[in-house]
Amino acid sequence: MNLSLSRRRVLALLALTSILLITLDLRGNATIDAAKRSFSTIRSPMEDVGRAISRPVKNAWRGITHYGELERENDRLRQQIEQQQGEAIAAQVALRDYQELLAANQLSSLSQYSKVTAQVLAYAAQNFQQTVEINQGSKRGIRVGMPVVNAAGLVGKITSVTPDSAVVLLISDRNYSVTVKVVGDQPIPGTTEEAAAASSLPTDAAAETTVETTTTVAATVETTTMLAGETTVSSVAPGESTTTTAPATTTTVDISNLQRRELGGLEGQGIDGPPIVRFLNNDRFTRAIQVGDLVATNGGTTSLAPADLVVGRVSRVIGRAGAGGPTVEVEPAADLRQLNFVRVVLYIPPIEAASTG
Amino acid sequence: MLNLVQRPIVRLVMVGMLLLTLQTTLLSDLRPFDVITDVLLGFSAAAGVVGGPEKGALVGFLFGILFDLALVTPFGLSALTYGLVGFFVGLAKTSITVGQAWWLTMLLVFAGSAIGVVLFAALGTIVGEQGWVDRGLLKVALVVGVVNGLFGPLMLPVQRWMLRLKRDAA
Repeated sequence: MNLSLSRRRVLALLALTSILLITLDLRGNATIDAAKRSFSTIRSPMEDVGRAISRPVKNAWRGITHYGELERENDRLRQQIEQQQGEAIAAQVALRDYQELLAANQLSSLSQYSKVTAQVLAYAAQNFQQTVEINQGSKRGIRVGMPVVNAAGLVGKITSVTPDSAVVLLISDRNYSVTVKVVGDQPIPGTTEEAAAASSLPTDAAAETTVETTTTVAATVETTTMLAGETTVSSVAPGESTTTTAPATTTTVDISNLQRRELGGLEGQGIDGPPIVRFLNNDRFTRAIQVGDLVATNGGTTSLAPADLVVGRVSRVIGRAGAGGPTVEVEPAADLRQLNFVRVVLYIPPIEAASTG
Repeated sequence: MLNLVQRPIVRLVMVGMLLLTLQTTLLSDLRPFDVITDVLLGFSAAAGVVGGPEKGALVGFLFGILFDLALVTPFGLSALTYGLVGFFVGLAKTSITVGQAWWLTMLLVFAGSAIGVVLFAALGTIVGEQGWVDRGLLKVALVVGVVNGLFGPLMLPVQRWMLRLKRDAA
């Protein structure tokens, strides 16, 4: 396998041209960025046609490879919906109280930011990046860096924008990072808070009322309710009304028992691993982090995401020797493998907003 | 118009755009063993089999550029990787005197694709991308290699039309 002079030239030309392009791109080149944007606009109609043609093939493939899984998931989701119907009503009441409290104390909340709903067009076409393409772009006010959420929680952030589309870097990508807080409701072992929690009487803390919702159904609906091991099946005929009763809980909050929180940096780990949080602080509170604790964005003047976007829950705590503190694995609340509709939060960090305007 | 389509470079871009659309729409969703297959890499390797090292490098480079324009990874990385795959698969083919056996095509496309995946991750790591070389890389290389290898013989007629080569030109 000897290389002739012409072949060596071809090889050298190929390598040098590619290395030149890589260097230009890594240093930030406006021409390459413009070329990518133009190319995206050119291939957009081709992709629309491609998606329309390939949809039946995709559906057939999914039907063949995931039939059993889809059936099980369908059953599980039906159960979840039934269980959550009552909880959702109670949560709405709590949410309204929460927003009234924020307004009364002149605190910011997520509802103050505009959001743009977008549909996920495609997942990354390659194994080394975790991105999705969405069908809304700069025409709707979307800019690079804005956070993207779905109904469950944080999905990622915008990394490139064209007038009619944008690319979202998912929180599972290794290049993704954001400051988060881990909020736990467990008392810290060996502290006065633990003793206080142990001696508190939770039954005195809550007074229960009920909220009723009446719905008229268009078709026969059969509902299975499972409460404390008891299963009840009820059927509602078309045109009849059904009433759902759910507990609405009023809780008296003890300030000394408020949830502990720990700040850290969330980083993606690629397709094979869950995102992790490395802790910036290493104080006595880190010992209290437990599996199931809530992880949410922390916000801040320089953060690309506002505070309190739900990221997920702690799925594993990995203790480490030394000053680094533990590393925490996070199970994202959003199912990143099955995204359909997402919302881009039109949020600009306060420091950037101040400098531009 | 017809004359324009006769030019290999025009055919190359046409086929490249079609393959890119296939890659970004259908193949990004069909994930055998949770791996996205890479049809452009397979075609780059197949170009080396059909056209030899120079044509393999040219096809690989152009397909890589097209793919780079659609990705957020460093621009030029796919071009370098696919170009090298096309070149060395072509070089390997010219040094083997078996002829155009279907199994040899499958073997070369399999090896070229698998090595291409590892090469892409290694080059990406060199230019600063983190975590591309990990325990999942071998699985990705294997799946991409096997899928491309299986479809390798089907890629050859397209390559011959694209490069305007006769059956025994290589």
